[in-house]
Amino acid sequence: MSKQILFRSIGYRLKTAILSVSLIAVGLPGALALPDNKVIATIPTSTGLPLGIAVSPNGKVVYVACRDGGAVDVINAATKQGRRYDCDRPWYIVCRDNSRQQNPLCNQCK
Amino acid sequence: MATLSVGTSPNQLAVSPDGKKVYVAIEGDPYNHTVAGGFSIIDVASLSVNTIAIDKSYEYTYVVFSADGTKAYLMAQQGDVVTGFGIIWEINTSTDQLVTSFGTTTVYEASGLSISRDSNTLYAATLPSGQVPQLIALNAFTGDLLADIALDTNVGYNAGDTVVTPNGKYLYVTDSQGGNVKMLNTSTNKIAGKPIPAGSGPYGIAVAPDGNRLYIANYISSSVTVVDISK
Repeated sequence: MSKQILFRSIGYRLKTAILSVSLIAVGLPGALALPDNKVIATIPTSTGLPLGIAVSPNGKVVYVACRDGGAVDVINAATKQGRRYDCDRPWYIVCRDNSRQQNPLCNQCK
Repeated sequence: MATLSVGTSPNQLAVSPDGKKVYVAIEGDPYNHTVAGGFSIIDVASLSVNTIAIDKSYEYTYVVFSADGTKAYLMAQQGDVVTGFGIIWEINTSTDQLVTSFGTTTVYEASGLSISRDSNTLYAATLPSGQVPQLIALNAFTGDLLADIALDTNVGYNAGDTVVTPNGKYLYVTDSQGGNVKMLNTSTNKIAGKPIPAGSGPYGIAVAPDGNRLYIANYISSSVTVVDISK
């Protein structure tokens, strides 16, 4: 290998190495930016077999469908305090996005 | 409060992005093949219900809307648990008509259907026969399998439910038997971070609209786990 080709080869490898390091550096913030996923509270439900869960569009209320106990728990997201509403074996629950109302809808709810 | 009759064994339900319609997945009675499953459409303003019967072999369990509301996806599995193969129907929401179906070889004993924020990818928790629970990602246009991710080492149970964060970066899936929740990076379709400890039997899962809190319903320990996912 001539000196010229050798130097070109070394230069190419150096550029590749620098580029690789740069890409790793650019990628680092994204790699480290995972959510903490820290458990901050555990709230007992009013009754058994909570399955479906939904959050109101404004984020202030959490609805939990408790199938066996026949209830929907309505939990204040800030205080973690809940109220129970009777419902016939609810399974899933969703909230309708409405600017004035936070309407929960659940299946088999009476 | 209103009570509406929507069909035999209503399952999961979803609200259209404009809030005008609710689709309800209807199981029917696929075990005795006596009542067809399908889906019901609730007109929110009038509370009228229109039920679309599809067939007597499948139990229809999950439904999601695309972000623009023009499509919905309805997931079902065969009532015969021995076969248990599933199907996903694409629905034209302007006509409420079935358009096409896919997933008959990939959607097995499936639950927890969700869709990416760009509406290009469908996710579901599945249980392939004799295997460990998986999370699958499907191309929402073609049904092609994009990824299947093992969620646990225990064979023979289904994972649970799924939810996509508002920014679309992550999907959380409950591992009901493992007692934890796993987080998927939706750009790589790989599990990211450590499992989040939940109560016993985590199943239902929801994320706050601001993306700061995750709520998990634990059906065995009868509790809700609150997780800070803000950073």
